Amino acid sequence: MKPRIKNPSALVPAIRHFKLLAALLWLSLSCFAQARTITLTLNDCDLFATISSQAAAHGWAGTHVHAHFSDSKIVNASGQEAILLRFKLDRIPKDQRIVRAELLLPLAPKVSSRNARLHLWRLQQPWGVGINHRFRSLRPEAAMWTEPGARGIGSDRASRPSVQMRLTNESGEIALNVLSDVELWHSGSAKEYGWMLCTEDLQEIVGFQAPLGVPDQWKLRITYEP
Amino acid sequence: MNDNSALTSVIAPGSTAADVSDTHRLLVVGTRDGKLLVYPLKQDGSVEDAPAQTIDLPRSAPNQNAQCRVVSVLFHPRQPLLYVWQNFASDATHQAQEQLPHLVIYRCSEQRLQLASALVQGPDFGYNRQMGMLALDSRQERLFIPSGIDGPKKVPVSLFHYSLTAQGLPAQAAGAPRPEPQGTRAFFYFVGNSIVPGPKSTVLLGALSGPCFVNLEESQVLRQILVPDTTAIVEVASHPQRPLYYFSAIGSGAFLAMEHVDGILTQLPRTVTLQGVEFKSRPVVMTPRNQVAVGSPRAVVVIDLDKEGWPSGKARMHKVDNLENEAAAPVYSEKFNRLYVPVK
Repeated sequence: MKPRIKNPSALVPAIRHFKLLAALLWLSLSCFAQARTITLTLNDCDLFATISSQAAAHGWAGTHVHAHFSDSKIVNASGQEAILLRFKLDRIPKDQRIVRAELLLPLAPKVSSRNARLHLWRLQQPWGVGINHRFRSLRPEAAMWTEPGARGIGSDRASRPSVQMRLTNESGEIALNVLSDVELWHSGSAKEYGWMLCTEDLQEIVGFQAPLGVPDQWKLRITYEP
Repeated sequence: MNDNSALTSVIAPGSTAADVSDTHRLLVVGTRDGKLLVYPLKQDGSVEDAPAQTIDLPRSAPNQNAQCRVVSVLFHPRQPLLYVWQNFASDATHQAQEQLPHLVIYRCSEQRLQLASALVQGPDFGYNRQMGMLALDSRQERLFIPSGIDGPKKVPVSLFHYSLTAQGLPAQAAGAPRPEPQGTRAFFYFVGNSIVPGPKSTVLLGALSGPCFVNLEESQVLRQILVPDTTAIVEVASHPQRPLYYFSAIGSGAFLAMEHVDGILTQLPRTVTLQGVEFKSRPVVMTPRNQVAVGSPRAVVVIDLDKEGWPSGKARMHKVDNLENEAAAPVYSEKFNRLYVPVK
């Protein structure tokens, strides 16, 4: 049984009002839905290494603790140690524009030098299986860094660092703005070989928590839109 | 496993360790009361119907009544030898430890074992480990033995090995009263059972949160954290043909595979986490099947590998009644293509 409307003309202004509200709601929702943020973690990395002049044969060199012992409980970025990582960016649709990209990293408490200056460099050479302080890969064939520790400026790494950050906190999380690098890779303007974290001073150390101990705390947060 | 008959349960109450020899058609199980149970195998690898030969391990006179347990058993792949490591079932004084022949060697002949030698390890050896395993390097030049952290001299050594003669017996230095094991620093994280010799004098050890890498030539040790759980012992196995190590995190269902170059770990591991599973043993690689088996409290978990040896993501539980609640791994015979599982 259909409900009966006594005076249909009285409903016309209410319907117009409803249409206007619906249009506004659709507009605001579509704007909101267009920008999307994803968080990649270490589980989304396909390459990772910690290299050191003190354990030159190793791609998981960790931190030098004693004369004969290194441990990956803490991994250092320093003047003789570096962390290399590459995130897979294939979760970002090709037709999207990157509007924000942040690399979020977990500091190890009470390790880093006061006011140490952390450098993030874009790598310019492929690296892979067997990577260590001297070699960028050992399989399928051996290939050396231009300078040990991937320190060759303009060859192993870019001509200038993507980020330089003076450390103000001793623990917690640090955020590096990596928008320009991610844009560069996503647009195809540069091949993605990932980043290197280090310092340029032998006295300056920045310590991070074990990557595989806290894989969800090594993050790349990216916002994109059409 | 595709074929359930490949899983062979062997009744061996109190089992703590096992090994199988294809060549000598023998399965040996060590027990927590210091005995060896010796099972002759038929041509197809099934266990003979006759009762197992039982052998009491030798002890020195002052320790005749002490309770000892078999920690590890290992067949030499080429020589007719079985190595056995025993230790006291509970804490013992250093003097008592010095007198106990921890390493006992048997000669295999006609599917039976005969005592060849029993070696004490001397005053400088670190004895304070109840667990561990015997392992041979790929050239059979070194026999790694379960060993402790501190000797009486408080030297922080924890990985010992004997140099072996071409006949597979511990070598004796000129003028020395007996063969002496040599020690290498491995530090206190080495608390797992696994000792996995790799290429070029490298060894990977089961340890807390991840393995310890040891380079014997350079006396270099690195600990690699692989799992978030800081209390989990991570046990190790290596693929016999591919440059891959496999890891089982004890007490969890985390199974990992990681590539290496000359024994040095490289790049990120690939992880399979099995819900509701608690691993109890190190992984056992079954190369012809392209699978890895890991012991758990009530089942053997079989993990499929892909063509390159990486975990494919498929795994199955094979329920085994009356499994011992020990960390002993099942043992696999490549020739017979059987996985032997000691049960109560």
